[in-house]
Amino acid sequence: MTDCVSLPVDSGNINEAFKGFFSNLLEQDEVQAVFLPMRQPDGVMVMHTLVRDPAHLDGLDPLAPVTPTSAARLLSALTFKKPGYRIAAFLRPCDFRAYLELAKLKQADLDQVLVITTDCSGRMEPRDFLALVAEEGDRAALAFHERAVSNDDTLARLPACRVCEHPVHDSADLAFRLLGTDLNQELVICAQTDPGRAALDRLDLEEAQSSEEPGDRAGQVDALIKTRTSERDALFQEYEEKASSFAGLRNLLKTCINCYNCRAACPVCYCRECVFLTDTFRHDPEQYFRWAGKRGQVKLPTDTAFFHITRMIHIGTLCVGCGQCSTACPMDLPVMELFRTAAHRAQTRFGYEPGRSPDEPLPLSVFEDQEFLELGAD
Amino acid sequence: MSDQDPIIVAFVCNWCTFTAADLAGTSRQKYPPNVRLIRMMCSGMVDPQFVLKAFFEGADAVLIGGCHPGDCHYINGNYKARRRVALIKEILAQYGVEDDRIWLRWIGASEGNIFAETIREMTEKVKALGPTELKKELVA
Repeated sequence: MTDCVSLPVDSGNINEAFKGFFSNLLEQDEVQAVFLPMRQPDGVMVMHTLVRDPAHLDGLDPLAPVTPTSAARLLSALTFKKPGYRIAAFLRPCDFRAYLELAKLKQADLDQVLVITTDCSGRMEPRDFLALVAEEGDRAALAFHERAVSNDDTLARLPACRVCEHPVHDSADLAFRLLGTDLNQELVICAQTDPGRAALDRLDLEEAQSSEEPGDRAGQVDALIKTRTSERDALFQEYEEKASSFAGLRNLLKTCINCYNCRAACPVCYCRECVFLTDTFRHDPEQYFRWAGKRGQVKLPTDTAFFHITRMIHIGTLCVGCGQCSTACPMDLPVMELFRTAAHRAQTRFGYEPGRSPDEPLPLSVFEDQEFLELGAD
Repeated sequence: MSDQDPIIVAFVCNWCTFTAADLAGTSRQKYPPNVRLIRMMCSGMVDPQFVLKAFFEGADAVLIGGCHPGDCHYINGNYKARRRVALIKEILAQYGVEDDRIWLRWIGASEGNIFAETIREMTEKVKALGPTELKKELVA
């Protein structure tokens, strides 16, 4: 049984090593398709792409620190009905966590997917990524990783990633170990599950050597989690104060334009039809005049705080903190900050951590006889 | 009733709490007129959005009334309601909505006196709290 494999990296070209690995998965028929970030025809922006022919892997760039939309949501489009193909999917830890929640919601499949994750140093807004590529060229992904792990404050990392206490995921089938290795020399991939181990065993990787876990990785992971957790707690404190009253919340959301981009971008916003797009919220014109009459004025669009609080109730227990909502917001509202703060409270209340394990049931899908007795109902 | 009087919106289940309210009326129990009853088939179908909407439209407090555990006409709707209420309270509490503005109570069909007593107690507590901040921020 192989636990870890080291793939040699020639002259810093890490994508060639990735290419060797993913094309082998296809050639050995271990999977019939791979789903991973690929450079688009302009050679710059990176989008998740479904590849079935190993000859079409040239533009792959798995570590490009950009995910223009949630890869979990994209992958679920391929698997919400059981696919007839086995897929190897490259997902960052947050995307895998969201994907696990979608699987629990029966909107995604786990059986047919070989999940490959990576130690994650974070991602950037698409526009910042373009600037980084202009500066660093093909080395952009590696340059980002090196600067991120050395806590370079000038690096335009997403706020969501700065406070993400889940830079690794231990239950993906396979995981690239970036921390503790010299990526200019080797790329280490380790199996974390039985299907992962079996896949790694069957591959026919020339030049690959079986390897140990990178020696000082555990320490680096711990340090990263510690830094991010303390930044996260500072963020919680800041937003608990800023939104400690309804007026505070309204102030933070005052310029919301009801575009619902955050809802569309959210990987775990699960309703097939959003109530805010239905006639329920297409008020009679008279209604606005009544509201304005009652208070002297009414700001339009209305129902903005209503929308956000509803979403907090819907996804509060499921939010994985990926930050796609803030990336999608055209008004630069602190959506991620508000949702992470609310979600942390909800998740603590139910003792639930989204994306930890497929075996933990969704908090609102189960109940117990004796619980929440403090609500005073008995 | 003046404008200053609190408004309580009560979502009550058809089988227990609504029947209790009916019994309170037919047995001439007195309770404050501050409550607006909305009959639901089950406390388990009280969508959190209904609670939010009530607050945004000027309610000072919301009561969700269901059957006692084990008595639910639909087996377990009240247990589901209890989890939802825990979630609503957790989310709204951080924005300063006081605990006493959201009540969950099990009131059986024969407990008209308990229904009346609950409304009396709730009205007193909500009067002491004053109007909500959400009321001031109408349809925000």
